[in-house]
Amino acid sequence: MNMSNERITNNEDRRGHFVLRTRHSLLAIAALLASSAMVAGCMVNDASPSAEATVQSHFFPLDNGLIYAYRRFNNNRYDTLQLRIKIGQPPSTTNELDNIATGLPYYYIGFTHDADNNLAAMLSTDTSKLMALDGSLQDSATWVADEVSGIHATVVAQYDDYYLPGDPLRKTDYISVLVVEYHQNGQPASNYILRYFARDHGLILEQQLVGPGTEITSLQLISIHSD
Amino acid sequence: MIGHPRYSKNFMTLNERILDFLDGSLPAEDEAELLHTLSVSPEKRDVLRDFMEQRSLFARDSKTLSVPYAAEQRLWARIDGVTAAEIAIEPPVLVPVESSIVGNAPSAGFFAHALHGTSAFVSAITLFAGIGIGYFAGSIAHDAAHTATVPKQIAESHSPAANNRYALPATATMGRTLLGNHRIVHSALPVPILAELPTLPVITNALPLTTDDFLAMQNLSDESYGSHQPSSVSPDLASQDPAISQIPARSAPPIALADIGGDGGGIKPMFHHIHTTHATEASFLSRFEFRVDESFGRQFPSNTATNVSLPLITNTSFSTFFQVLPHSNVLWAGAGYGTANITRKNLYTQTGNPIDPSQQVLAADTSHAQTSYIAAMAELRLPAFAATDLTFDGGYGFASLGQMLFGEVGLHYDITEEVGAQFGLRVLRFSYDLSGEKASAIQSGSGGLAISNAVASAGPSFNTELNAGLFFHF
Repeated sequence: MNMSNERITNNEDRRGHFVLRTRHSLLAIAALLASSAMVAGCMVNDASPSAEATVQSHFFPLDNGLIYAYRRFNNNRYDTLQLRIKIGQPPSTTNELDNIATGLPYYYIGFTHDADNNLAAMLSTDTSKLMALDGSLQDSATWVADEVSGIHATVVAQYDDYYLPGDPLRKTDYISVLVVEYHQNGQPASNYILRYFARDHGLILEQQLVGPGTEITSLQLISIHSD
Repeated sequence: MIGHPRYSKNFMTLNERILDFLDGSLPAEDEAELLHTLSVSPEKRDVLRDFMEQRSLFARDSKTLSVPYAAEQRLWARIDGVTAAEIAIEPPVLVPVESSIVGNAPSAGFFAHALHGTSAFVSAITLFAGIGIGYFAGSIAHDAAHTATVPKQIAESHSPAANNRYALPATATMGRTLLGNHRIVHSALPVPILAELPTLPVITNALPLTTDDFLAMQNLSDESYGSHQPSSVSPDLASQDPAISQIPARSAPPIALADIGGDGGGIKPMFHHIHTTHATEASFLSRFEFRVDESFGRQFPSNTATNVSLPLITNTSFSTFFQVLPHSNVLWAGAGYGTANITRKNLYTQTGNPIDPSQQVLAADTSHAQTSYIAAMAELRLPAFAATDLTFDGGYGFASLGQMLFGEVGLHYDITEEVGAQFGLRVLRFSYDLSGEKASAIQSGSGGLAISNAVASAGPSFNTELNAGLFFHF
């Protein structure tokens, strides 16, 4: 009986100490986790991926009077093209990118909704209407840019940072750049137009390629300023 | 015994209960209650530690004290002369252990015959003076650390200048009372108990006696001196064997092993939370611990190339830990220096943008690299096994290539008082910044450059390592 009692007492004692130690261990682990969480806040921040690209964020800002200066390459000739944003008044009228030199609209710009009621950005001329950006702009996203002309648009790349080819010193870092390829049905796969849209800037580069690496026209942003 | 007034809980203080517990005379019920009380009160455990420490001091003092056999014979003869009782004394328990003391012992026979009555009287006076001094010294010693130099006092008290009056040293006679030829020994009774039992003829020294021995002698004393008058010695005592012959000398078992239940089986207290390093305050230097660690393991992320080139990594560190709390070795803080293999990205530019082959792209590659670091660490140690603690480590380090946060769960084993080993599983998180490298890569060329998503992001890398090391401390 005494042996039994002693065994019971010892077992209870061990159990009690086991519980005590377990409690201590849990407290210690909790303390370590808490301290780790606090210290983790001091860690170097990992480069967070860019915010998701949207139609509005990557299209021209509708800022009346803003002037975009582009370097244009056409017919083996370079020139500078200055385009001013002209917001239509009243709002029902179209917004334009007017060529300051000629006073004529170079592009008509604006937002609309596609057949699925997704927000889309329009980049049109007198002869064509192009849905430059549409819906969700994930990598490899595609949509019909011009149903009449049979042009399909595809997001072919997304860059965290991009430096334009015409910036030899790489001074201007464009953040979150979308590269959209526009390909017309019936054309060779190597014939397409690339447009680069940067967050909060809009169109920064436009290239028309006919074959691998063969550029026949381009429009490259030089600067943005206001009147 | 249960009905004894002393064992009524209402009349017993905590000190009394602890003393009775140490003596093994505490009833089982009170004992269980006391153990529970101790288990929940650190302050009361400190009181227990004080008593145990005092007990050990007395035990140590007793080992250094040896009264020559002849001298003790003479002493008893003197006392017997006063009481006119001639009692044959059995060979005593204490035997001389220091030859110098024996050599200094004067001839007992000469003085016994020459100074029979006077020396007995002076001896008695000396003894009572010693008792008084010991009583008050014990009161002080109860609160203060015992630093008495017992051997020196023995030499002084046994010097011929003492006029052959074998007064025992004050520290040795602390709380000691002689009564007739009965010597009743109670281990390490503190002053409050002595004060409460003024009529109990008690000799307190460090001879470890069981409760039964103590009670037997107490009964004998009560029978012989029913009035509890120390000065009234019955002549019948002459016919009784001296109590000293009935008391076997034996070493005191550790309290944790003592069978104190009194029922044969007994309750064996297990003082799990009384660690030797806890009981005493560590000196400043002894609170430092120095370590050398070597660990090996794997790095993540990894790829085929890195696994082939460096399938296993080894890291080395040197560290110093400091015991934060002087009375507890639970919390340690430290600092260390070491080298570590980590995984990190390397950035570079190359031509061949799939969209426009004329443009450059920023590319990255993962590689292993070695970095050196300094780190601050904290450690929790929880007693797990004998001489082994369960450790939880956490630390943050600044490395030449980045920062690291690490944690470790391990065992800390004391091989000796100064040296030990430790083993653990460590997880290390290494983070770094690639902004500088990215800027350098950008400026390294000209023209269009595309930096794809997340190529320049510096995600953390991880090491899982088995760590083993040695430590030592003063």
